[in-house]
Amino acid sequence: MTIKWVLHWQPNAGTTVNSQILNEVSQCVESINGVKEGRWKATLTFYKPIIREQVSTAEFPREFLGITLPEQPNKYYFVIRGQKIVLEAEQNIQAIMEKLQSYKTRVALNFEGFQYQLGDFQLRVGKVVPMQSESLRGIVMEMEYLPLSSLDKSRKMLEEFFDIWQEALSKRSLPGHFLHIEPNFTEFGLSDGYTSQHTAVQYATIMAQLIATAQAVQAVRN
Amino acid sequence: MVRMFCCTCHLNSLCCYFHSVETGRRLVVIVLTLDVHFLQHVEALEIILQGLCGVHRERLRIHELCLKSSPNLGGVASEVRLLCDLEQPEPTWKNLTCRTVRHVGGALRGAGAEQLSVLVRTMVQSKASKNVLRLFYILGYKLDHELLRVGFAFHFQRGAPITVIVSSVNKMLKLHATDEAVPITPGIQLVEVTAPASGAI
Repeated sequence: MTIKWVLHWQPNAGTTVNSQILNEVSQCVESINGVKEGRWKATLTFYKPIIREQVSTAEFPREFLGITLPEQPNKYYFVIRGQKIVLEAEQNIQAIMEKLQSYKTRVALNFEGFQYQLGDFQLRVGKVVPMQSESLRGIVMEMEYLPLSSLDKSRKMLEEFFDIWQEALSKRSLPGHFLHIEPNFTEFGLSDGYTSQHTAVQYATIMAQLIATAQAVQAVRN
Repeated sequence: MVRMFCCTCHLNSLCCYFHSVETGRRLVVIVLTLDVHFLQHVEALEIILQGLCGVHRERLRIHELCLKSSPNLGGVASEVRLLCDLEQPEPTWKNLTCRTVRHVGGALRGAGAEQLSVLVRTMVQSKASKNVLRLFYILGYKLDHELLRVGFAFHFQRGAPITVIVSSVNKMLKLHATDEAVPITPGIQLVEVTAPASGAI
């Protein structure tokens, strides 16, 4: 499977993400000859434990995430970042979780937008919105280098492309920038060969960043 | 104990009788428990099944870990099973690399179910990557008991994918010691028929 970096929009201090920024980002992709191909969508669900009595939830994982990815329509991914665990399962695992009645959905988010082809790269630009809402919570971008599947070997190419992309975007003077934080995949038991489990871990990491950003904004407002 | 008359082989207590049950989109498991008199006919059943199914049997050796939710987790207690296929070339049993998650529902109830001489339960299962056991431990599930199923299976297609499994159920005297398993009910074989619940079989 080919290498993918998943980036998130980091707004400047004192600013928030908005749809105008999303439009500018999309236009920037097209301005560097990205060819729009179609739509894409991933989902992320926060689960919380169903507790019978008034007991502490400390014994249960705080961030238990379920993720679907467009390139793996028959799979479902669980990530618990604090425990450094990622699981790939068939879609049926969701039905099993429903049957167990031990965890329920706290909040579910959609990552959706358009996909672009740009030479050896495939780009996806998307908004982060809660399901059944259009309230924009973030902007993400997938940057996929198609020729290689080794993280180490493709790193240089992705870094260079990322620099080109940042430079193109900087000309639009937007109040923020894209950030790439590479998780320590080895801690999750993942190897150098890239897989969809790597992508799931990246989405879980981004989610943590989006939450931290939202909390920082809220703290300033308070 | 169940005794059935088979129209094909004209023998008692030999064959599984297939029932059609509409229960939605889940797999249906039909379970028969056959007694010690059946043992001498296991080989005959195997031959009959091979003829009926048109495929060769597969050896079955499944290490089944039954996990239960911790006392405060969930509105009611829940149970999930993790299956490790010991017939796979990868030495999964040493690392407990279970690859299948299974939930078995309660027995079907009601007037229709009472007329059946077999036990029918819904089942949902999912393949998973190797750290599924660790995941469930983190989620608050604990090992309740473990079993070893040894026998054979036939997988075939009759409008829908159908699996017939004949197996003995064994328990481990020491934790995860599958090589030292002993039968829970000596002389009794379990016959399970599974098929998608959305199609008649």
